[in-house]
Amino acid sequence: MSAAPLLDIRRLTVRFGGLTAVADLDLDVREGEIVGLIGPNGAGKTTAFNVISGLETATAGEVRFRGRRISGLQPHRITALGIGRTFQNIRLFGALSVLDNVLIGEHVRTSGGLLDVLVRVRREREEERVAAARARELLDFVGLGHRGPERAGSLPFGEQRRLELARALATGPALLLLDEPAAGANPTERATLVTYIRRIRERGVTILLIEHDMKVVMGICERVAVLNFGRRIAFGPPEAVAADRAVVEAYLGAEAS
Amino acid sequence: MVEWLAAFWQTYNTLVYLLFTHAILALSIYITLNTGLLSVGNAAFAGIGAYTSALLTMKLDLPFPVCLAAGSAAAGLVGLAIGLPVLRLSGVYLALATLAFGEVIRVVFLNLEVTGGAMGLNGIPPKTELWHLVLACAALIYFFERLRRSRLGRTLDAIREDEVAARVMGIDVVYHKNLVFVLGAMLAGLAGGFNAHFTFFISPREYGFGPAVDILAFAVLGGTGSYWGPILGSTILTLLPELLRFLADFRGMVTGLVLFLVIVYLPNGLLEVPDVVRRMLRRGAKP
Amino acid sequence: MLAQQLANGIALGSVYALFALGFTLVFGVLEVINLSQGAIAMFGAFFALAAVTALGIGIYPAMALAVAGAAILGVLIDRLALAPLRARKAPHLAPMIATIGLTIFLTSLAQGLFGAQVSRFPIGLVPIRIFEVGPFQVTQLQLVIVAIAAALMVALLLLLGRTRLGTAVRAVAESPRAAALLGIDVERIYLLTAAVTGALGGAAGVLIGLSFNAISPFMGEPILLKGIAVVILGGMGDPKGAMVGGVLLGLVEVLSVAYLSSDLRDAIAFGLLFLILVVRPQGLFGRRQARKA
Repeated sequence: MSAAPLLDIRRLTVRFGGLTAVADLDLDVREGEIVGLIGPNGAGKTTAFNVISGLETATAGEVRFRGRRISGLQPHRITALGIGRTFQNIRLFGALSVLDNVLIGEHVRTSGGLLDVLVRVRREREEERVAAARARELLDFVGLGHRGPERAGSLPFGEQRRLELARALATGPALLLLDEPAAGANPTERATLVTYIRRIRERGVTILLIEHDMKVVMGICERVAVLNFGRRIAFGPPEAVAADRAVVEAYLGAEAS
Repeated sequence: MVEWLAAFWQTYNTLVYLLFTHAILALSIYITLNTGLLSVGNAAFAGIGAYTSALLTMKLDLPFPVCLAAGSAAAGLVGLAIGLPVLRLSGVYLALATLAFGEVIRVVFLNLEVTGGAMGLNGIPPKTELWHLVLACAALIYFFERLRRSRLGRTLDAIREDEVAARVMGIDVVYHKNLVFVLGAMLAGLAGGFNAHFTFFISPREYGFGPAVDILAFAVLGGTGSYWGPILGSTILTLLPELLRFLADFRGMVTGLVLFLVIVYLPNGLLEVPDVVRRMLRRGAKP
Repeated sequence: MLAQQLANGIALGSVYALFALGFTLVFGVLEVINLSQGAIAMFGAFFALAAVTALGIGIYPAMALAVAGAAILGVLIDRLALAPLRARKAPHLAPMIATIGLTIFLTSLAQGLFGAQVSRFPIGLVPIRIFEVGPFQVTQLQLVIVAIAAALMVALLLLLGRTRLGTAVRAVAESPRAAALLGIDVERIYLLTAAVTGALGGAAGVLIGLSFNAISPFMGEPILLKGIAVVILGGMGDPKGAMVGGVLLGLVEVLSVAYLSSDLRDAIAFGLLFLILVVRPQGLFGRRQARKA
């Protein structure tokens, strides 16, 4: 437990014009942990994710991954370093096949380029074979093994979520950012999701997740950070956070009323 | 029979050549459209290829393959130079920027001494032969077929479908956009080089706004669901004016109308027709 | 010499401005690039020519007829091409290509109807008179052109800025959905926009036909390209930007012909345009914003 954290966010601030989306956020995620990020709508959770994955730039502060500063890097470089993510409002490549979605996820683990298309036919075939096998294994893992050739956009909602999970895993992440994986899911789907998240961790992937569903958060997270108006108002084990006065007022209280 | 063929070839060889060069041009815009980039600069790139290769043939008398390759490479280099700034734009802004670029190139041809100004270049030796074109098109179809099922092909599909998701999948979007832009430019340059070497004559007006729009029309008419769409579109739009010769000055009305009707009623192009028919039949079958 | 060139540049530029105004209005309200604006201008010029030669009326009533005809053409194009695409929420590429198709159609139609040759207005349609205004020597034609262009532009700005209808147009431009919730008949506003932009295009076509005294089926394309240049110069969808951009382009063209070379006229215009798109895609006067369309 004393090892340096896998992800280390220090005094992260993000401002859009006059609006401060994230203010002075400190957060660390240790290897093998499942950490929850909760807070009311507009608390800055997704913005924090966007900075970690490189889609938005920090106004101040920094993000370190395995001790290396990653804030300011392009998203594709961050993915290559080992951070995968999903999106709150599922962003699959809808017109492409389920299998192709996962194969695209394997982009950073494969290398075929123009030369392979033109001349290196044998090398390219071998790489494709390995990549496809890996993709099928991931599809089996999320229970979509039979869906490979179908259009990703035609899958039912719950299966799209799982496909996005498989696609994110295909990037070979050490850290997986899950943005509201249970949003819009029914109770059964939610239960399945929780088991998937646990099994992903068993594969050796560390997880940081944004979630509204308190049952999900309390059930699987070792530590929970609470954001309100871009500020971290609590960080610790779920029971301690749930008992925190500030949290009850800001978040749980707001929901109860 | 042989006589008939000879007579046919005599009359229509230019048309047959055009079918092939137009197919290459159609593929040159397909590769960018398929990546979600609306670039209408390909007529200008064809012009760069045409002038470069024709001048090398006329002034230096270099071997034809060298001239073709140089024309294609020149177009690719210009594409590389303008790609980085221009490809930061998207949607209609990219379209307008490439359109403006095309006009700049046309005006450059119009004003340079070496390109012969408004009179263009005359007396380009005919070097293009049918088998060159067949070979080039066959190679391109092989390339696009391999691309479709390759990692690179999937990467381009991903960028077209969702740029943000593609970046998060580890795809270097800027690099790939530039790559297809340059490839498109090189293909257009190649088509231009071929074209210059069977028409004897080239002038700036063949590479202006009108031709740029024609190339776009190839892809739109056929549809961009597969590389066959633009080839189908270019074939139809190349043959149509021949078939409608009897309409004289009104010919363009049919071309324009076809383009208009397809985009309004068949947004995925003619490739979609079988699907539409199937859907209609199914609806008809169900009472 | 310089004063004279400035006068010529302003006369040319005011026509560009008028044309660009229609072009930018469609973009502002419908968020559509209507590439048939050039063909509308061309038809406007032919309408006026036909009215002058066939009906034997003067240029001003002929111009009124031409503007009305162009407005109807604008509405037709909106109903036939743009409305179905709007209903389908087609991507931005679609209306651009549909209007290209219509441009090819209309150009060919004009070629068939009027022939490919250049037609001219009868001599003396606008009396050839030269006035001394301060340091400038201007022809009556230039005065007429500037006056008509300016009057139409002022009328449009007043319509947009000072009337309830104008407020409705701006509301639709901002957000069609919100405007509909406020009880604005959005389709009616689109129709009105189509009529107004058609009229502006037609008027610009007549004035261009007059100033170069040359009307041909192919005149639409260069007008369109200049219009695009102006609209980008002034910022897409910004009426005031289009007006300033138009005059600016007119001046740049006239001055580059006078002091550099007549061959460079278009190179400068489009080189400028290309440069602006690359370094300041929001236009010379626009605020910086994400340009995703």
